[in-house]
Amino acid sequence: MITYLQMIETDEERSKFEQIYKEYKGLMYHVAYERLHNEQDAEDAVQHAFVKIAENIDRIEPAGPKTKQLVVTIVDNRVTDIFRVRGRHPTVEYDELANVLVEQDGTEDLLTSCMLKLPDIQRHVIWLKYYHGYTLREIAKLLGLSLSNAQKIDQRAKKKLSELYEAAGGSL
Amino acid sequence: MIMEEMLRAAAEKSSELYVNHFEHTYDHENQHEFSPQFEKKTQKLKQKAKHPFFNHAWTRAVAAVLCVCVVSFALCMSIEPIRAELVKIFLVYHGKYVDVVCQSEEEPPTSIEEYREPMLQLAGTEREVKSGQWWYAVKYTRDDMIEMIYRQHTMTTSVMLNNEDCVITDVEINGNVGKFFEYEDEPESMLLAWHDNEYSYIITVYSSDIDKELILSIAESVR
Repeated sequence: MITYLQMIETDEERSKFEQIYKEYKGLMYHVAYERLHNEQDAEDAVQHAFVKIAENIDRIEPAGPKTKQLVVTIVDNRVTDIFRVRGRHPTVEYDELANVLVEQDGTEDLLTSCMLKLPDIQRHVIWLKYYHGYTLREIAKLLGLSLSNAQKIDQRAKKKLSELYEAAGGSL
Repeated sequence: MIMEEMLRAAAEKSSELYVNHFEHTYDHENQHEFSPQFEKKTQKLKQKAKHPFFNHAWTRAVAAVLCVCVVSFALCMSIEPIRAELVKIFLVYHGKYVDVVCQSEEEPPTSIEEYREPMLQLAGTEREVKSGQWWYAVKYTRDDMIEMIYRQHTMTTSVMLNNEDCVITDVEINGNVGKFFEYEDEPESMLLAWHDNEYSYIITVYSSDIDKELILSIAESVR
């Protein structure tokens, strides 16, 4: 078992990690459980996510709105991995979710809606790259991918996003 | 093409919407009570974190042992009979991979005596060249993305290629037999391995803009 606090070098980083752990472990579990509907699996997903957080703590900001979205992305990605390995399909239909989320928000942002319709892994890479500002190398490390795989996913995601956007009436 | 500013704005907005969706149903007051096993593991981790010197020393010791093993392995692999024997063992225990061993009709060079490269190259890409005693490689990138990697090896070099979720077909490159790999889900979309009785070659393609016909043409242009 990888001991994630062992990876943290300084008192400041240890403190940052513990703050994130305390602040978000409940929400992370909630996200994992909503998708997996299994307590053990959800806990495993959260634990794996914290390993990744600890490995990359020097590139993560202290607890805050952006960090909250980051940790949710990491645990969400782990859930997707679990589905992929077990050959299961997620219980949420993302086209439907995308429409619901955009309607709830009251905006008609076409690109936002299209982004929510991307396959999980593509959406995660796009979020990490364009919102959180990580390089593909850092994203590969965060998500447990090879660099070339992260590059490929980024390429496919942008291509898919363009296709969705055009199909929905957007002009490029 | 979607502008980067649009991508950033949409990424921020969609991420926020996604998290908010889960927060709507998240009860801060009644959080999940983690299992005793989860808490125990976390407690152990926090206790270990109080002794960083011991943990780092342990990590360094493991890293040192691994380095010794890798160096010893590399030294063994430099001895032909051992390398051949070990390669046979890899064939047995790594079923996911296929060892492409090329049989030459002549006695091929045992080191790279002449660098060969495709005369037909991808326009607009940057080249990065690396070489060793038994190999020569050129990486083609565009905007920091790898498009293609070309490699030349001695024919005595054993090259393990991923054999999962791919279709392998026979092709001919300048009268010599080659194997063409088309992957379904791997980051590398296509791979071509062939030889010319002197050296073996591999072209690995990562870009979806390069098709099979172009790869074959590139291979046939190697001089």
